[in-house]
Amino acid sequence: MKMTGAEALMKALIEEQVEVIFGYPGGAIMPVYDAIYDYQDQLRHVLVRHEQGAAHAAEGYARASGKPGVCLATSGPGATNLVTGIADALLDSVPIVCITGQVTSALIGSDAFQEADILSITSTITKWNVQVTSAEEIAPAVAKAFYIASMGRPGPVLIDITKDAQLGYCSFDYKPYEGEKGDFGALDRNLIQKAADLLNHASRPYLLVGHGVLISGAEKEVIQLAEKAGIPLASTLLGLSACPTQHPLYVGMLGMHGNYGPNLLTNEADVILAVGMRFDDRVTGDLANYAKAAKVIHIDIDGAELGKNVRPEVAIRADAKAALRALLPRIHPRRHTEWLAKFKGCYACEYEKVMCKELYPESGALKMAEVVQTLSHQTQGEAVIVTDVGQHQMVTARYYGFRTSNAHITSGGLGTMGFALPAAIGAKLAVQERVVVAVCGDGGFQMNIQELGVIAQEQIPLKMLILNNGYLGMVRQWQELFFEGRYSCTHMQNPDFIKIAEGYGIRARKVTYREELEEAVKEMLESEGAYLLEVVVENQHNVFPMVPSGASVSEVRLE
Amino acid sequence: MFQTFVVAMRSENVLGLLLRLSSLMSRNSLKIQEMQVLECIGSRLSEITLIVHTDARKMEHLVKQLAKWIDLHEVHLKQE
Repeated sequence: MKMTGAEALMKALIEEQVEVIFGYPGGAIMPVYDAIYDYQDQLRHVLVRHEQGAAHAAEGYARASGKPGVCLATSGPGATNLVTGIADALLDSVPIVCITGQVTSALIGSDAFQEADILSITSTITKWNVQVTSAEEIAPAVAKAFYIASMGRPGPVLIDITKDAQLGYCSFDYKPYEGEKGDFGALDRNLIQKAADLLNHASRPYLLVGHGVLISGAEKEVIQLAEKAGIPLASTLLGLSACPTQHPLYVGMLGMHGNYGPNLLTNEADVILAVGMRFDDRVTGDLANYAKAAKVIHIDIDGAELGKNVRPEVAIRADAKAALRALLPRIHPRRHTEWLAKFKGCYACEYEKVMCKELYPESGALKMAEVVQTLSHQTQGEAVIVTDVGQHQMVTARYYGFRTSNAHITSGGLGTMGFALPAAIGAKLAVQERVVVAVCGDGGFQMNIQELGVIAQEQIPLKMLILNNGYLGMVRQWQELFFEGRYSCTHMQNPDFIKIAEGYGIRARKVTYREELEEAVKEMLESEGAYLLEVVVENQHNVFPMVPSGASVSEVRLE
Repeated sequence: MFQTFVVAMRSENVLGLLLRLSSLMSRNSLKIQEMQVLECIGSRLSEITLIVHTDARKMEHLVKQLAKWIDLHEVHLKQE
């Protein structure tokens, strides 16, 4: 039976088990929207308020569900508005399938209305992109797109469909794409044994856990390995929640605003096992002075990451779960009591100099850390936390006590302000049974504030927490520490967030005083629908510890 | 130490192939010294030969990135 290309697209998406599409209509994608009208019972379309929101919502959906997220936009500005979200998905390895309309094929290259060369624009920020100019190419393109988005290291793909392809007729015979690039063959047993030997003979082994562990579903294996070998375990920002923060071997977060011990003691480790992480500059600091005493075992599914920043002694290109399962039986049970005690000593030092003052201030304005701790306690560390970018992001990562896996979603690599609100919408639609809280700063919240309209229209019971310090706080912190306190363009005159939320019909409350905090967080969490809680926090606060940009991890500062 | 490398690859002849290749080169701050592109097997495949002057580590990384491309069938590296 013949059908239009637009209808073939619907059927192909259903074949790929797509349930939700985040999108925004426009001229060059109208045939697809006409087809959506007929498939509303099988495909839920969420009308975002800006295409950037669609891309981030698809990211949030993908990260919470583990399935590719789908976003849809028209040609020209619709497509270019997706670009930030696509770049974000590439850096954080998030599988999203972006579908854009394009002017009719006869007009391509003629500077037609709403024409943009989105293939060229996205060539460096997608794993793969394609332009489809005939109806019969649509289903094979969708099959290939979903395969590539999920295969190996996940990432974004884009299908650009001309209007004539959407309107043209084709028959529909869906065949999943069969590729070979996702097959890494058998694990190299020699490399696994070499890694096991290094770990078995190490005096100060150290386990670094990244996002790849969560993507692979290797949380159980990574904890088993840490427990068997008695290795202290630290997490990257995106690896958070792979291991419960209460675990006795969990020593904290790595990175510029990570914990003191995990950064400082990197340079004392003699063997480092890095799993599903890419030695990002925020983690390594000055590479010339990073982990020089350690032999590094690097496990990553992306071969291009092995040896890119840090030269490993043993490089294993593999899925984290498969590699850890192979490694586990070869690991000897050991304890490294003295080594672990060093981390505990560092923690005590950090607690006294930083954490205690942040969590239990005796007077003054509310601090971000005490708000995050209150949220953590009241959710028993079991909520899905979606953060934006800046000081609140680092404070949330440091002080939320994650007890469940896959519970932390943030923009790590690209550091995209405006990410949290739409990503949290996507996450909530993916895991409706879980409490999802978007934690934002006042700056980032305003970058995609229009998505409150989605929450209202779709009646999404999302909880939103704005930590309002009236500044672009992280930039202000750098201006204070590194630019002689010259606060250039970082103070914000903010709108009345409560009135804005109420304008969308969303319940909201503002808190300024410490005595109100517990009850206000409780009210937010117990409310049935969406809820926005604005907390006014100390306005000139600095996040510590801090590894200054370009400095060695050994130079981590506590104040 | 800078050396001269020859990268030989065979890929599906898809729209935007050279754009993707040149984007990858510029993203790695690499200049193309010489390039030859030939159609083969009808016009289904492209054979591309690149000459690049850089250090071995950067070259190794580039080849690993190329090897991930779904449409790329083969990539070989030779030092001149």
